[in-house]
Amino acid sequence: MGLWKYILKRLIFALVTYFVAVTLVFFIYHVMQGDPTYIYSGNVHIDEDIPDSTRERWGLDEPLWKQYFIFLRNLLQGDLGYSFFKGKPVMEVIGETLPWTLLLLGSAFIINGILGILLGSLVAWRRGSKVDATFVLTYNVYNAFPLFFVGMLFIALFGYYFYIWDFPIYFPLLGAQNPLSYRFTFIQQVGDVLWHLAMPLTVLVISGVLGWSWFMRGNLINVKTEDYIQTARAKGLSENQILFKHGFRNALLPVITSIGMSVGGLIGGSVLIESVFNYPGTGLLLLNALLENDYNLVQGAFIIIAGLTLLGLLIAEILYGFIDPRVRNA
Amino acid sequence: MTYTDITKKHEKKKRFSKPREKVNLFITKIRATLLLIFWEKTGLKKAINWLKIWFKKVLDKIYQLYLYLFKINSFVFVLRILTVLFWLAAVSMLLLDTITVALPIYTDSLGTDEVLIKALLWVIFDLLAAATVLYVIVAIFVEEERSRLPTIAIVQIFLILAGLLLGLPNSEDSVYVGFALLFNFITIVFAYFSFVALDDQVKSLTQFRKSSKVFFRNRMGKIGLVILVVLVTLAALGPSITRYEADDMDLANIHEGPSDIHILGTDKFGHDTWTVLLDSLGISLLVGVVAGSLCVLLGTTIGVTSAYIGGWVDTILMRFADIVLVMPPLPLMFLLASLPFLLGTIHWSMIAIIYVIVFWPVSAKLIRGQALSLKQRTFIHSAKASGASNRYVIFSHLLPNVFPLMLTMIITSMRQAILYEAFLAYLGLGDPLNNSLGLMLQAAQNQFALASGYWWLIFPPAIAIALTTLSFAFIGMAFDEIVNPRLRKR
Amino acid sequence: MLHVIYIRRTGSETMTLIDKEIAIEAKNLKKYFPLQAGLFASLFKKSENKFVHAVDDVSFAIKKGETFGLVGESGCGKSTTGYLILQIEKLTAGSIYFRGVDVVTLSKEALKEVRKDLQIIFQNPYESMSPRFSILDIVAEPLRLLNILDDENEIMQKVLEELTDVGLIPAEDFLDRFPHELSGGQRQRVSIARAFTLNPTFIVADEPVSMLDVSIRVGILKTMQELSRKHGTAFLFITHDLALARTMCDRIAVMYLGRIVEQGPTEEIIHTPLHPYTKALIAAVPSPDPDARRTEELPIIGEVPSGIDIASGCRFHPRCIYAIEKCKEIDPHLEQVKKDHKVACIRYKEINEIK
Ligand SMILES: Nc1ncnc2c1ncn2[C@@H]1O[C@H](COP(=O)(O)OP(=O)(O)OP(=O)(O)O)[C@@H](O)[C@H]1O
Ligand code: SF4
Ligand SMILES: [Mg+2]
Repeated sequence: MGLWKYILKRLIFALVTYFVAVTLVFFIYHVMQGDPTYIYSGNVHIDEDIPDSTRERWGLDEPLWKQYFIFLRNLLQGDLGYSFFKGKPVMEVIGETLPWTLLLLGSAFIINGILGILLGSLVAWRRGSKVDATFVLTYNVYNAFPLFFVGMLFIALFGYYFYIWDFPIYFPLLGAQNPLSYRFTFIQQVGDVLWHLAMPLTVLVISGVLGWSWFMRGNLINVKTEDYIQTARAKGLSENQILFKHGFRNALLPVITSIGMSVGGLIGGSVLIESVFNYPGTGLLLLNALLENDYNLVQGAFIIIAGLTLLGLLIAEILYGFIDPRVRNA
Repeated sequence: MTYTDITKKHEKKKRFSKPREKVNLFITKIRATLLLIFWEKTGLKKAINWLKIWFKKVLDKIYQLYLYLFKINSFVFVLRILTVLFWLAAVSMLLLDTITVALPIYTDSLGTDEVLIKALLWVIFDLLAAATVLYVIVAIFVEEERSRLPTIAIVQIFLILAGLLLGLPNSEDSVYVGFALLFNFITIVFAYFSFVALDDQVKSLTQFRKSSKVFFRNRMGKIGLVILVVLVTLAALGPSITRYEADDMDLANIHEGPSDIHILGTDKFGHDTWTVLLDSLGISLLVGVVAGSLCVLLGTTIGVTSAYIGGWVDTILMRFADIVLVMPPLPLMFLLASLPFLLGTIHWSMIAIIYVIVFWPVSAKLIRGQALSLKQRTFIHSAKASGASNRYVIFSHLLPNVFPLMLTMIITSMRQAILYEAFLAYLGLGDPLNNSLGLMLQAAQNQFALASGYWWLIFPPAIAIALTTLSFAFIGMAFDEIVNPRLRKR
Repeated sequence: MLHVIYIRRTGSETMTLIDKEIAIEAKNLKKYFPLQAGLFASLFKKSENKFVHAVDDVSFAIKKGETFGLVGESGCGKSTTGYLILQIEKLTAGSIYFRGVDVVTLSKEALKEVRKDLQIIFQNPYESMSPRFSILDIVAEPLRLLNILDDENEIMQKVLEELTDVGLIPAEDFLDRFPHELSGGQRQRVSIARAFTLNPTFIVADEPVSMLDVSIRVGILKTMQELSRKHGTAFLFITHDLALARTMCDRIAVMYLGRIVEQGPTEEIIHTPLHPYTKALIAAVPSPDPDARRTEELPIIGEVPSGIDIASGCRFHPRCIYAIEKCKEIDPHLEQVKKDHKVACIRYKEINEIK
């Protein structure tokens, strides 16, 4: 009972938040921009009669609140409007980019979680040692540089200079696939995708792993000074036993809570990385749409990205509800 | 004093040094003669004496003033001097703004309606700001009003936010208002510590000393502070210490590497990288400091209010915070930065505002948690049992106890704000008119700096960002040790 | 001091009496804490508001210079009663008479006057002081808040006096220290000094020694007794420790789930408890004499229930070994048994074989 109620509560919260986000995007664009058709009025590529049909479909001549409800209705039907720059429905444009973002995010998320927790426990338990000091320094120095700068360095070194210097291995400069990959066999295609994924993923993963292990380390250090650890020590358990029996489990719980929160940050990071590596994900799409003033696309991309974040958060929270019964009653 | 007096006195003193007695006597005689001639006969003595007395009187007056104003010690003394100076700076900034920026636009008949309305708003804004600023000095020197200082500060935070949101300081000159309010804000903080918290002074001093001891024992804190001081000094001096202006173009030397003429080389327009770097550093630091501190101050205001009032106010504020919190920050910032009225002339202050809008919930939630646990502590009950008002409880018990947390959060927040400014600028959503470190990196990227081997275009801004954020991170970690004694190594 | 004539309204009768003896009187105090409901729950569900009945109709009068004990299990509302009297928490209902006026109806300014005579000592000396206040500030806080002394030197003088009185010697050494630099016992002494700075006529002592080591309790309690004798202070002494209440208090009231179930002179309560709950409490106190140790089981069934869903009738009946059907219907009120001895149980006569 408690669990289902908890899940229902989180679900309702996620939906309400999503609703607010969607509303926010809609009004920001409509209030600030006025008649959205003006954006493409100067664009020569656009057929003169498209605006009229859109006017009807989106009720652009109606008052704002009616437009809002029409927008909501269309959204429920999975219609996010039409991108006049791409000449395609927004949903289709996003559909092309979403798999790449999911691939990047998903793999980064899993690797971050596993490696981060392991590394964090390692350095926390060897607190004050050389390993720990190196970690603290690495963490701070790596995070001091903006993420995109690291990406730029990677591209220049592994993509460009490795090629110039005739290294046996070099990485692709941009994109998620070889343009000619449709000619490849399936195995080759998979290899090609992974090859393109390697650099952006590495940059994202290094920062993620460092961040997670930093958090894990902080928690473990706090736990280590708790009374029950001292008791365990007094009982004569070895340090490793203490680490796995008590410390690890208690330090892990807050880390799991923060999984949800980290999704937003990860998406932010992936947007940066996508734009540095020209990786054709939804983040890059959002950015380009912004710079081109393709506002239907901006709206759509943001709605999808916010949805992803909330979904990640929701999953993490439900997971947490299974693991720790206390939160259900909170 | 006469000649004989002097010699006698001297003789007495030197009675035991017999071997050199004669020489000494001789010297004294000469000195006495000279004194007689130049000292007493010319009336110099009288003049000097008169001056001395007068000087002493003035000193006495000053000392009395000092006793009145600054009776505790040098630390507080310096703080009070700074308070007054900052207040003067704030007032003159406001004056400058009104006279040189707002009024001319208003009186300029060529302006469109929109401009006129904006200018009018601006003047009103200035007047409001001036009212609060003037009130500060009243509040400092009139004892009964002192406890209002924090309230003024909070009013001003919202004034700044409102002003920035209205897009008032959108022109380059309007930096005055920003600085005026910033200075004034510093005035309030200083005044609070040096005047208001009179009873707390001894205490805050010992606390300060103890904390600073912990801080300076931490090597990272020390390093961070040194780096930051160097960076801030460089940024404050800015292009004035280089041979060029930030927008000077040396077209004869384009894409030159570091040399005698250009310490850090030039870009494709012949801009001197070192000069641009110093210029950028200032803006980046300013964005970081303004955005970081405003964000935490707003968060603290909301967090403490929410915790203290509780009930539905708390519920609504926190639900709202939750909603903002779970949205992906960078895309949300894109969205806000792209608002047309912002996009046209996006100013660095807008970036600061956007940062505040996106990140206030983080600090609000943390502060609320702390304030809630403090609210349960019985010292609040015991103050209430002695008839403490809500204001007293908030300002004397709640805020001082969340202050350390606030401080670490401000530092973390500043660090983050600098990075986010760089992100936005790099992605083309920054302030295009003012150099910033992110903008430099973007420009370098656009010139294919790495691939073309123009390393001097890309490494200096990147390292500058790294040093800035690193110093903030180190200072933050040192502060963490003060706030969270558990982390101290034993 | 000035007027001790006051008008009391009890039910329908109105009596006027001159009572120079009474320091403070609480009448029908009630405090219900609303249970926090979520935003959505409160929006969508039209639930009847649920409350924690922390204090539910409590009345007592404390004489001048007397120490009045309030004992009971954890969570029965003892602290809340103390808070209500000092107006730290807002009353749900009831009145508190102090110097003949109902404190609850007073304006803020008038309340400030009254506060000069009411003080509190808290249970946990580690929590009752702001870590950012020095000892001087902590002790001087009431003086400053209530504008009793303006001159800083006088304040300092007064604080030094008080600190010396509670045995923190030399007092000068303590002025600039911070709470975390003091031991638990020293802190509690500071609390006492703070409570006594205003020479109040009435102090609520909320378990003043329960967090302290047994070895220093005696000293603290002695200091309190000395000071109260010196100033003629009345105490509301809150404790869960009957043995302690016995040594400290002149009279005792036993609380159960927000209600006083028995009240009377200490020795009488200890030796001839009338209420089943009091009996159980006393049975639970280990006697120092091993031979006299009671062998009978603790005559209470089950755990302390919450104050949310209170049983109908006598609220003790689910745990009472003497309970009968009638107990589920009738809510017993305090009845006068002897002079100054009251009990709230419908069966007290049968249980105790009183005619
Ligand atoms: N601020 C509050 N909000 C909601 N419920 C409260 C609050 N304060 C107290 N209560 C509830 O009121 C009841 C009585 O609390 P109180 O602190 O008076 O008990 P107590 O007898 O002093 O217990 P202890 O001996 O543990 O101190 C408890 O059930 C408690 O949970
Ligand atoms: S009234 Fe009944 S239930 Fe209540 S105490 Fe007396 S005997 Fe027990
Ligand atoms: Mg209690």
